[in-house]
Amino acid sequence: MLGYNLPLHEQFILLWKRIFTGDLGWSTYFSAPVSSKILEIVINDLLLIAPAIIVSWFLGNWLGALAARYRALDRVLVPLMYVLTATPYFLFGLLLVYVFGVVYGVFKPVITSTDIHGLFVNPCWETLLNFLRAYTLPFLSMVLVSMGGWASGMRTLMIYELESNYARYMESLGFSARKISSYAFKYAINPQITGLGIQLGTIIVAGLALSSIFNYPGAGIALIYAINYRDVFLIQGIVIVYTIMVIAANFIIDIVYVVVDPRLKVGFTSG
Amino acid sequence: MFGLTKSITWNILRRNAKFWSCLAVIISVIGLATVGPYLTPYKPLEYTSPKLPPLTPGHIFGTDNLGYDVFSATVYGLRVSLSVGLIAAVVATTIGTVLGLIAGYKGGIADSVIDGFAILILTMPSAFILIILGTFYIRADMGVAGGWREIMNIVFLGSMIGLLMWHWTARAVRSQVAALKVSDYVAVSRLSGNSDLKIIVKDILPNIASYIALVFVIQLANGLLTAVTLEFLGIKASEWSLFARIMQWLQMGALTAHVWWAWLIPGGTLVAFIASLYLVVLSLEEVFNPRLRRI
Repeated sequence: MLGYNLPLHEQFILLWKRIFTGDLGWSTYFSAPVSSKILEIVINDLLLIAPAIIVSWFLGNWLGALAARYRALDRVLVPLMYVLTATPYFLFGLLLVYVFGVVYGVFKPVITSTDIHGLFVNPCWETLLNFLRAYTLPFLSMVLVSMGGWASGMRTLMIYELESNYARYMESLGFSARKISSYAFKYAINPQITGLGIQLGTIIVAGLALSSIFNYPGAGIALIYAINYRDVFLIQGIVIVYTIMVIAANFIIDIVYVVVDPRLKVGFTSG
Repeated sequence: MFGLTKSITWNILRRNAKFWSCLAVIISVIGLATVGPYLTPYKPLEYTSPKLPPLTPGHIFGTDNLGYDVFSATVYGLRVSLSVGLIAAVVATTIGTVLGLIAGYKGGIADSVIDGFAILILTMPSAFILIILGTFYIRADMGVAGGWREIMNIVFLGSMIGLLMWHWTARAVRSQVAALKVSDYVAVSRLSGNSDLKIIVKDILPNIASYIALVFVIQLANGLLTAVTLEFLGIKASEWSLFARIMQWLQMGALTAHVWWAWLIPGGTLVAFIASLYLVVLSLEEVFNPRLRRI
């Protein structure tokens, strides 16, 4: 069944054949096919990671641009941004769990798969509330930490643009500061879009650390179990699927980049 | 760069309170990790009395619910994490600088190959690789502190982290070198018959040295963050890796024991250290780069 009796090169071809047909082997830890287990894990992870990435990206860029524009705000925001980005995800998660989950029991300190799937199976007020109580803390710890990184990057980029010649020229023509910032923002946002693709690898680590804090049924917990119980097929499956996901996301971002940056669009249509 | 603008640099830096306070934090944390183990009579895994709050005489940071002294846990743990981060930063900076110089100066095929490797590392989630390598290659049978096995593990883990993040340095160095390569003084140097190696060492490297130093500090902060996260996930270089212990301690359900100081004090120290590294680089960038200087 596994083909270990075949010569090496045929085993290798078999591996790729199986990957392309969606067969990633049998997970010994979960006693289930790896592909169906990974599908479950990926959906859980996307549910947590995708909204967190998007929200933190927009929020961080907005905050960074704001800090670049207003000096008084800058003084307060800069240390805050850098402290947030210097915090390991798990430590921030731990702090939130302790304060809001244990001391003031506003939110649940763990999130289980029933909290997530309950909302989809039976969407009503009660399951939504239950979902939010469990979901808020992992979401918040992810958003706030990665927001610090985006904001600090955006602040530097915006300052560069606001000090550039065209911004000075606009200033001397009498454009409002608001108008100048909106032009500068369009330039400054481009590296941040590329950064979104690059940061995905880091954000997956965040998912790993947070899923072990909140017991979130994502790739983190699965990978730790898989390694401890030497579940080779599950490890291989997770690594393959997540690498493909990062590459796919980078590809999508490259396409978005063409749409967002008019210079590239001109290059494509006229070239 | 340093020589010419020294007085201006000094004048700007001298007034920057943020820079000095951050530098003070960095130095004191490094000092704590270096001399701390000599200040405490307790070993990090030595039982004292449980749940003492911070500022108890004899236990400045208190003790956790299992009776371990938090101060000695912090200083011994910081030592391990800082060594791993430092090794990672040194490895990444060395490899990144050499490859960046080659890619930027030679261009052509060398540039494409190195850039290809950089993109490869960029797209692979390096955490997975580190977790797998760490699980299978770091031996858990560590005996005494400072033993040979412990040092091996620290070097191994540090090098692995460094090998997976050199591309940041390489790309940064490459763009700087590519810009300097076409400048007039390099052309003059080449026309006067200097070899490539001499041009790189004598003409290009001194110009980007301060830049590389800044990237090194950033890499140190990033390496430290990675090392700490790995510790938390159970990939620990030493028996008293701080956050590995915190993880085990959490698994025993100790969050409800309300011994917040046992994880908040070491964690806060680490965050202060990393944030200070970032902020020092920011202040220095403002000095070296007039466009970021807002007056």
